[in-house]
Amino acid sequence: MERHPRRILIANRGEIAVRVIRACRELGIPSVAVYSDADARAPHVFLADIAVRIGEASPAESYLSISAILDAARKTGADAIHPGYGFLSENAGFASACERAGVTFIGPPAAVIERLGSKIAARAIAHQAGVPVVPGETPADQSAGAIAEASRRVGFPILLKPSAGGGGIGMKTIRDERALAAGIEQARREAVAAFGDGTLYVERLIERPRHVEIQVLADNHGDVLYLFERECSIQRRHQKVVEEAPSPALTPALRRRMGEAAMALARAAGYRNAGTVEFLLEGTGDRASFYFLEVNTRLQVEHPITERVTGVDLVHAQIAIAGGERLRWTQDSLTQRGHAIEVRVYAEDPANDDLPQAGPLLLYREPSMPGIRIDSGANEGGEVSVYYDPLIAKLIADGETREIARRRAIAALRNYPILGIRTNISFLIEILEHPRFVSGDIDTRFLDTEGEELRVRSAPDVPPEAIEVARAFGHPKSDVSRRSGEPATADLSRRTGEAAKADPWETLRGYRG
Amino acid sequence: MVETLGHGRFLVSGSRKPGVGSQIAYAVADRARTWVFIEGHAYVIEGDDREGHARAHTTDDQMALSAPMPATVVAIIVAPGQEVAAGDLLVMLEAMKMELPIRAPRAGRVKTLACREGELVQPGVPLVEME
Repeated sequence: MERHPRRILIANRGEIAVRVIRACRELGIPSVAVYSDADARAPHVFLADIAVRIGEASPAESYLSISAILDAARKTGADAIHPGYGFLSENAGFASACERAGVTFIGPPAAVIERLGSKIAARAIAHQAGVPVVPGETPADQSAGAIAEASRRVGFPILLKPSAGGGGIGMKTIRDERALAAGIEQARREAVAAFGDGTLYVERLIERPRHVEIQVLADNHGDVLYLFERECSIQRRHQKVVEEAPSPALTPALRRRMGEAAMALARAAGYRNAGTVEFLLEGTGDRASFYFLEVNTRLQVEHPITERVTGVDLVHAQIAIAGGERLRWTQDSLTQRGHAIEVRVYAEDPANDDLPQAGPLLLYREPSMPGIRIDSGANEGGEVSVYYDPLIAKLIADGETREIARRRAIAALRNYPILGIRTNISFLIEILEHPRFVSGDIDTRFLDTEGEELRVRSAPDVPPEAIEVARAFGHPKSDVSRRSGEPATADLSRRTGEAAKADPWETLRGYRG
Repeated sequence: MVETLGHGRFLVSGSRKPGVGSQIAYAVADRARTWVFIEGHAYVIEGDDREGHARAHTTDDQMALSAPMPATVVAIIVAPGQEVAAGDLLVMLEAMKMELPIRAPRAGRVKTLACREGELVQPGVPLVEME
């Protein structure tokens, strides 16, 4: 039965709230924004048809408050809620509270969110659907001898992880039998120190894995399809920085195998609406192996690259599915066309441990050029608050080839002035110009191995032109210091011939006129 | 050559880079500093009153390490009395959904730990004292 949303509340902020509000307007559906005290003047508030204050700046008092959000829905007559990503988007309790309140939650049913949110239950579903998972176990007997036995069963190289942990803290790589005894002891010690619990999980180490995920759509009538892959290997501390579609590592046969695995998993889980099945990929080409990681039961940050290559608007699709519509596509009618690259523009300092930056956007000008889409929730004169994620915007470049998309992304970043707070823009350019990125030779350790050099290169000495501009602007005097805290980096900051060639006016010269 | 175009925009010509003609640069004032953006790089040009650049951890003479902004303690890696080397991870914080590692600024011994896992800590309040 079709029951189209008549008024949609967006339980989020920033760029994703703006993105969803725009989609509502495109569909002729009135939108309701919610905001905290810190966001009273944020772009998503002005864009929506109605805006409701839901609480104080702290997320727990506002964007994470189920009662405040449902109150706002009731007061404004919203009959559907889009959760965006983060905040309450994967909170089964929120989805079921919506169901109880008679409000359509634009996402999967609460029970599905709950099942897939549990690592153990999700692995069991993958197993049942015949989808490979990374071999691993938590031995019931936690003696050193039993862990050594488990390590041999799982197969070297292995990763010892604190069972109680997360975020990569206390993980130990062990490559062979000889390093095993000492490694178990050290991993145990670190697990106890960090988490007060020495229980260890033994996992096969996937060497130089890529992170490749499959977008799926499932309707309420049992139909499932996949919208191909996104490669998200450029990440640091499990946060994605650059994503692209298609993946340079997939062949058509491997793409089909991964897509079918993702659909099998979605069917086994009783999935509804848009979701993403994340895999680790080992190797490239038809002989590569893939292993299930987890399902993200929501719209992903990086969804626009899928939209650019498939032509499908995923937010429109989510709203249609939530309204009970059947999928409008068949698998055979979907194609990937061209290439898209997304870079995440963060308020953070790459030269200083990626320290998040909060402060005013004194000058903020988005570039406008062919093949560029910018999803942002920022304005000149606005500010990046300490309370929330430091994502300022996503810049998505597309083109007929990967190389054109890459060059367009660089050209746009070079024309994306953000002043008043530090951003990672120059660091993003360095990533896109790195020979390994250019050739598509990337894995999830890319920023661990190449990051230091990229960070140094991204923060060169102040060039004479910048000083001249400062003087023309009326800078008090010629007392000009190098960026404080920076070491002298003359050798690395000097542009190589390769980098100089990537100047946008040169690389895109062929596209003029 | 720099020409003022208005609205924070500047035309920079005669660049050192061969083959590159003019570029648009941007500038804005922030108290005593001037921010300049050229070709993807943002530069902060300090005025007379130099402000210290925000650091991942602030260190005073007694080597007390504190959070740079309101943050949650995710993990405490070291124990009081433990010897650490420069750069060792001491405490992992999280703020704005990002991990903020607090590392030893130099070799020494952990004297006291003044935080708990899960605790919300404020900037400037010592978390770890070293000697």
